[in-house]
Amino acid sequence: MQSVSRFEASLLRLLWYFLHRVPPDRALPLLENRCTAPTCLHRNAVNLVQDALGKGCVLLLARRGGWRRERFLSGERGGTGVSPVKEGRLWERTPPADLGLSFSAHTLRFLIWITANRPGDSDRAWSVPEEELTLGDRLLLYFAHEGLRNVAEGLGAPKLRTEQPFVQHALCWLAFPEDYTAAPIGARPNFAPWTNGAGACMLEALQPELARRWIEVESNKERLVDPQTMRVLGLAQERVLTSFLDAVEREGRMDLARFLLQAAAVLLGPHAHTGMWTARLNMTGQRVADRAATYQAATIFLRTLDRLQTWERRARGVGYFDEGYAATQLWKADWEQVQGDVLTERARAIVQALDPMRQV
Amino acid sequence: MSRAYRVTVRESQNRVIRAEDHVSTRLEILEVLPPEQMAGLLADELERRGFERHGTRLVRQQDGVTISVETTTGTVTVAAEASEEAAIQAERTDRAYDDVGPHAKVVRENLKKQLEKDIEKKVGEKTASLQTKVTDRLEGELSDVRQELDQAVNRVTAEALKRKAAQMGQIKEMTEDPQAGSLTIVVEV
Repeated sequence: MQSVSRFEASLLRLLWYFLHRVPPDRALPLLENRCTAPTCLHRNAVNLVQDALGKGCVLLLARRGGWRRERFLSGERGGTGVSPVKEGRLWERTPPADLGLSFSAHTLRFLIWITANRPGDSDRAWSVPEEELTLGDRLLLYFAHEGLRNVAEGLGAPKLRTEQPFVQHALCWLAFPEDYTAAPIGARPNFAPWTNGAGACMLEALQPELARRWIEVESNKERLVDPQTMRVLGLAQERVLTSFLDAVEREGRMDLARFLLQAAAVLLGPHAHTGMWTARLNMTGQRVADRAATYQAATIFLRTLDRLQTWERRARGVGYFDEGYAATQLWKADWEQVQGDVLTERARAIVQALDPMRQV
Repeated sequence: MSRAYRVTVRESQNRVIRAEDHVSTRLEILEVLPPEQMAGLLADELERRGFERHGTRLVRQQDGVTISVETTTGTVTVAAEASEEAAIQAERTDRAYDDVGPHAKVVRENLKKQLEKDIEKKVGEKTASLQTKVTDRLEGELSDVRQELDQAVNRVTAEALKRKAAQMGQIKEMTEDPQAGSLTIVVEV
């Protein structure tokens, strides 16, 4: 039995909450509480933190999608310089040695800070440049963001998202675009760590979760009443989608955008209609320009399918010996599996029906 | 002791009220010919319909509405704006202990602050009213503009098809039914 101080016990409990090992009601009192942080942690506590991080993060990734047998581009280059497609579970597609996560002192400092303060405490804010974080740090912060948004909205969690490093945390932004409506205008999510190496492997594992989240965000639009709320949500979505698709295109990892196709397949069934995105919007007294901007924001996800279709069209022209053949063929297969052309036509019909010039 | 003196403050301002509204969309033009040629055909068709050329942009004004088409991208912007000069008046009354003394001065200052708010509120109401008129005017034109541009695009497409057919071979027969919107070209290749 290893003994720890009361502060360290609280820290560990919060960490276990972020790693989904304790329920929210045991974490909330700790988040509400403020206390003095010790000057350092005992070796026991650090060992327990290391153990929790090493096992907990991996377990969560495996449970959320790493266990699935999927086809993704391999990160390695074959003899022809072409990335092959590999099929299997996450640790079968990529050697476990390449999936290693490292955590820096920033993780420990964050855990100490969140235990001692409330998320919204600005006089003792925790802020680290996003580029200083390791992949492990970023993953832990992703789980922390998920945990905080569930219980700590009233404790200042939204404020945390407008500051470094959360404001640039691309995975948080991608999974929870509705949390970034207040992000500063110049803020851009940093997708570089997530589109190659172990970061891309994590995105592979989180595909089902990302699909589920985007289905949830789009489905919730039906309940939105205030046009301004819709506009800021659409803007946040547009920012993250643009950054994400630019990044995956640059790296030749279009397969990482598969979750968008999966979400579209659910949202755009044969009976999809405009009301699913705009049913409750109160447009009384709105200018035509504002109405158009609101509908554009509501349909940002639908309009993204045009770009994804462009990838598929481009893939048709890539030859066997061309660079990126495996990537384009994989994208074509994904596209055909969800009947991407049919989905795009349905999306276009909805977007056109909401064009103010066609509504009069 | 009752406050015996009535203090009244009046304010009158001339304000210019402005309102504007606009909407943009893109024309769906098939690339039967290279983009520059399609843009040229579109520009010619729009000129025939009373648009004025400003480089690659064609503009027409009608009934207080400006229609602008960027031929290279097919972007259409329909805009309406209006402005009017309005005389805004407001008055507020209160009571003070004295006529021209310190209390009356304080009361007058407070009334002036309230008057500013009253005037801003009236300006806001007039702006909203003008905005409603501008938006209604724009909406009234949108349907006709849309139909007209759809017709223009159809004519441009038909013309492009004729030219394309002529490039491919000898046109043996050409039948056009404007009412049905159909064009049949028989080409000997």
